[in-house]
Amino acid sequence: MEKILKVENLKISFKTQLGRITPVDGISFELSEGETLGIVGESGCGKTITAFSIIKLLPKNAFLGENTRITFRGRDLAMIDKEDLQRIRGKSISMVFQEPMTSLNPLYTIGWQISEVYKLHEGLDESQAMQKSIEMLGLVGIPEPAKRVKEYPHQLSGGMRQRVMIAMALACSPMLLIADEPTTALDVTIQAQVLELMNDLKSKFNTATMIITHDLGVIAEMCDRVLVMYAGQIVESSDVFRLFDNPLHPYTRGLIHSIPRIEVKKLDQKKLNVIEGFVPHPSKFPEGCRFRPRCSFAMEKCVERPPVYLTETGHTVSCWRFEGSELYE
Amino acid sequence: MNERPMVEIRNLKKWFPLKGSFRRKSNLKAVDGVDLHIYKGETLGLVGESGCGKTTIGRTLIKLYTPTAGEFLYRGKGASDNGIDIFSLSESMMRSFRKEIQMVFQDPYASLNPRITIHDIIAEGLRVHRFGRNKEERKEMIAEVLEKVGLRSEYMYRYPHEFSGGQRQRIGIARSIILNPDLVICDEPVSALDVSVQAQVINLLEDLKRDLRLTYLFIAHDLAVVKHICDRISVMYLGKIVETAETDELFNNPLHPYTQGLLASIPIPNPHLRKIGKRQLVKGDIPSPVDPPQTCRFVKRCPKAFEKCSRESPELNEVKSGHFVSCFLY
Repeated sequence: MEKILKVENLKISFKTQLGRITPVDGISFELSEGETLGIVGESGCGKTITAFSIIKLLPKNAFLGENTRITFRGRDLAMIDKEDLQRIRGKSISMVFQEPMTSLNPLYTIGWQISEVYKLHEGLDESQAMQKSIEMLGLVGIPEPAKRVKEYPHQLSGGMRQRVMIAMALACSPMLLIADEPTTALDVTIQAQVLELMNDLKSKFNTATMIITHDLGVIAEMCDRVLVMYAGQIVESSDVFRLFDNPLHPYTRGLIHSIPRIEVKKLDQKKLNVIEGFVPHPSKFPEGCRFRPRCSFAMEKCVERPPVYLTETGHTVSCWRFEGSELYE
Repeated sequence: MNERPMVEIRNLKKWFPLKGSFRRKSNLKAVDGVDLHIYKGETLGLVGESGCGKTTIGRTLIKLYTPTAGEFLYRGKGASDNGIDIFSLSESMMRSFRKEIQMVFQDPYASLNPRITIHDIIAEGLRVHRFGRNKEERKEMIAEVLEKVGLRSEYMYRYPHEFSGGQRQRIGIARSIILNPDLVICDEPVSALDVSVQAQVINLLEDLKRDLRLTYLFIAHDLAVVKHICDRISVMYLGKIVETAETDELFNNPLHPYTQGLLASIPIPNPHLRKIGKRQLVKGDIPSPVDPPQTCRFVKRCPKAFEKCSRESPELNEVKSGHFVSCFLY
């Protein structure tokens, strides 16, 4: 299958009052056509700005590392000009944000907002674009779409707004959809509706999808492959089954064992496993392995940054405990 | 469980009148006739989606809101066996019971005063309820409670912004347990926290419950957390309780169509048990609690609704020992 996105050595730094901080520090990954990749991690691990960097939505005080290369279908995204970027953004790559209220414009009807995409990218006229918008709203499961296009975002519920966002994102059948915590703001019954919808549409359009979330349940339901991020680095990656069956990195293990298991009977539940301490701020990332201060397996060697190993089980893992495995790239 | 419950809430209502309605007065019926029992030493979970009224119940129980109707019978420390109706107490009478019923709030950022030190935040309750003979004694008590919740006692002269979310929630817990309460109402105590920190706080709440013999009303929307920590669970929908049962009974044998849909909706963190594409979805959105119909509240979204459901409102009935459900199917 065609690799559509290739991120190499992504490094994102900010100039701040605290000096220069680097919340994303040297991560690499690829995404193939039709694949769903999950990026999981806790707040501050850098997962959201990783997504923003791909569609160039980083704030002005951010800058990328010298060796960073983001390639989308063979084109280096750093090299393209503003006009080309406009053409790619919203058409070939689109994004669904976490908070559907703040990402829709409250002053325009939802019909206007979706048809803008068609007018801009496909050159349709007003009435054609509106017709397409109504079709798309129907496709994402909004009842009475012809009536709803005339409504404003505040007239819709949170779940409906997120459907509108998805309709807008998928309007031009993008090659790559980036969804940043798409269901975090939603209630559980509505979350299930939106996840089902995303799954349906993915099989219909064969869109490569990147789902960014802190919720291991969403990862397990939706993803083919998973990257686990901690403090700006990828600590482990593998396909979703292997990751849950046999997590290797102490952080992944800690994370998976610290969530209450809903599928286990109450009587059989044990005390939750705890990762001591908390996620460090990007200005205070420790030297060497960044998980070292919280790791129960930490050893002397961990003061050096561990390389990425490819294990026999097919995981990549960045931890000295796997020294002796094959080095990855 | 034959003993009498420590807390009996009967027909609790909390309506918020809405302003600006012409001709007719409308009410936001956040809580509309709720019955709850809490037994000494148990953790009762109160779950539901946003807007169902679960937080309003918590806040009404500690009288942050004045209840519109209902009784709150309390048979714990300091009350007679027949119980005292907390809602009918005068403010001065209420004071002695306030320390028995404490609350841990959801947002560890908004619930701690940023201008005063941790010492002062915790000492406030001690002063009001006249705990400790002097400052020194109170300081010792504060040091002790901080250690108990897993914080270093020298932290007491720091300000809230110097702490992480998890640590702040520990401070909120310290503030609630220092008065040696009987009942602690935990309103979404871990939902603002990261996964790895959430486990720390859940374990802390469990340890404290055992060591201090506390009783919890645990309000949350995360069913995995609720299953882990609660002995019994009540499910709320649009201002009413739709089902109450012991935890394993509720998860193995959910009776109300809403509970069934809710449980089926949860994404399970195990890819082998993936339900995507196979689950029975709850259709539609949660309706508005403004002037809700006096019928079954779930009728519009219910896959099993029949004619009676849109005519009358079902009662919460015990259909099996300890298993209550409010649905005409049973």
